[in-house]
Amino acid sequence: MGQENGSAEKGDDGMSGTDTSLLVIDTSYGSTVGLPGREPCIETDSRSHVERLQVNIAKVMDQAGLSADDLRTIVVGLGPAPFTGLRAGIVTAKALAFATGACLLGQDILEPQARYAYSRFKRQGQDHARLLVLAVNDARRRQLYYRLFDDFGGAEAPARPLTEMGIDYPAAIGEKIAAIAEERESVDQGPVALVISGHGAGRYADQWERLDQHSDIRVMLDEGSFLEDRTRGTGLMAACASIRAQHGLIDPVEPLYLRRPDVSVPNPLKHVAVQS
Amino acid sequence: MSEPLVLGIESTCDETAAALVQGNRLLSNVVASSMNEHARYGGVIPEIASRAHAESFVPVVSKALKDADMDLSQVDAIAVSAGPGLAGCLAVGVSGAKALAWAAKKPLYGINHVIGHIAVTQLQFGPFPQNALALIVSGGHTSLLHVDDLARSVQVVGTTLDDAAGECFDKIARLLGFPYPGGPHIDRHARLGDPHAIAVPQGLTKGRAGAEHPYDFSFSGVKTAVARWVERRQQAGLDIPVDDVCASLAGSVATVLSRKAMAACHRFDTDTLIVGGGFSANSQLRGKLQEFGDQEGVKVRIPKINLCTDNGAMVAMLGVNLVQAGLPPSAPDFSIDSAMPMDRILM
Ligand SMILES: [Zn+2]
Repeated sequence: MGQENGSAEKGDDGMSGTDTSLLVIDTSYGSTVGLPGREPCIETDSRSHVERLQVNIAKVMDQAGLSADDLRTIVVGLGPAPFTGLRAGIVTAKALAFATGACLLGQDILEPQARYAYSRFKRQGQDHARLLVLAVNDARRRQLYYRLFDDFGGAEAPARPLTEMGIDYPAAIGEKIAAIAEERESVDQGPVALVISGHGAGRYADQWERLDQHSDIRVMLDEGSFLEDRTRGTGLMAACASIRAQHGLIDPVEPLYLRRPDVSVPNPLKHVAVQS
Repeated sequence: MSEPLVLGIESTCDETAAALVQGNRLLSNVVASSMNEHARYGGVIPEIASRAHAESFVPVVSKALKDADMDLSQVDAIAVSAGPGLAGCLAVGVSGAKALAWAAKKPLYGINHVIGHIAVTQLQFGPFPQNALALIVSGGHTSLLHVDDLARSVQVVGTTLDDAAGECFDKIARLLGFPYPGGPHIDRHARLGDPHAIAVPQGLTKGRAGAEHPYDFSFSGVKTAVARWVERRQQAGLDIPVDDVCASLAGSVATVLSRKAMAACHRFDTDTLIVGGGFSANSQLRGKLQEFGDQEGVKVRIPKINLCTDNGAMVAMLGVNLVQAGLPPSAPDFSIDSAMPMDRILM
């Protein structure tokens, strides 16, 4: 992660979060398409990307009275997420950027998810406990994508992740996070409050037991994606991408698959040794 | 309208390709293949192919435009393969094409890849005659089609009842230990061998089965016969005359395909046979079709080798036919169809 590939192709004058010429496209779960500050178009069916995604883009643009030529910046979700849908969103964004000349920014979804959780849980009287956020996304096959974040250094600074992005079974993620939280306790001399936030947080509620058993870690579950928040979702994506870009953190616009491709090698046949 | 300029995009299997065709002139033709990444697995791995499409899509389209010294705004329409093919691969090409078409305000045609394989011959031979027969041969398809009107009316005359011809070659190639893709290796060895060395059955050519399925194909018997013969030699401790095995296999397959194609031409009273698909690069088949065509008075149109395999030119060329026929583009929410039937030309 954090690989840099120079600066964005076009000027950064389309970067402000309220700019109507900024389009957000994400297909990390179902799909969310929107212009920050306006009603987004959200699909929950993860198998309708080929049919619906471009239609939805046209719809939100039409509703805003904009045409493709007005696009200045496109922010696209890079996952981590299961394969096919993610790719549909990224290739769509790349093709739009190519055809319109808009600046294309990729944004992983775990950082805005963590910001989203942090903003909603930090004021809930956490007894001065250190607030950590474990952002997750459902990877199917009983696994989750995850990344652990510490306190945010303020609204205008990039997030401070404590781990790399990963994929694992919830119970195994719980083990790793408990170990990190214990370490933090000894450093900070205080209790830790942990929000597990994203798709899969609640679904695997019974699997966070390693964390629950730990008396000094208070666990709160926050099921659902920030992208389903109709008023804040697209704005958060745009803001994260914008902050990262301002700090020179331009991620390559490539899908964060994390999982290796499924490969089944055909049955071995009895070979006749020949030179070809 | 002057001759329509169409951008064709292809991503059904392991090739990401784009081309520009104006009328029946090929202006550019760019192909990026992920074949090398599949070689060690002995076949195309859909997930790896799909990842490669997502990476190559924009660079390939961009290069096709640049090579033709064109800009997206200059094209009259965009065509993209909507099927048949690997779903994850089709999804990438169609998603990208939809975005391009919307952004550039161009009509988009979601076309049948297989029909593209025969459409591409127009780049060499000009428009189809009114009543033509087509033989499609590839790794996934072996079919005879009757074509009244390439943009509107294609009927299936015959098809394989089991394996495709290319599939049969791939399996024997693996048995013989050739690296993937095995077709070219069989082709090369076949040129050196005796096609009559091994008795190989010609599926659905004789007796009742032949009479019931005059234009259908079956290649599983050929595959089994060759595999058994090779195994018996191995068990007897004898070496394998690889050239003769390849020549017998290729000769049998080419003869059946050519004979049935000619029979179908007579049945539909056409003097033109259009050939397309990756397997039409096979030299034994090319030779046999020409030989039979000369004997029977049928003009055989086989594409140049580089237009036999999957490419964007075939998609663009079919797109030109659709634009010229005045057909409406596909609906914005059209789907991919990984099993798109051969008589459906447009989504
Ligand atoms: Zn093909």
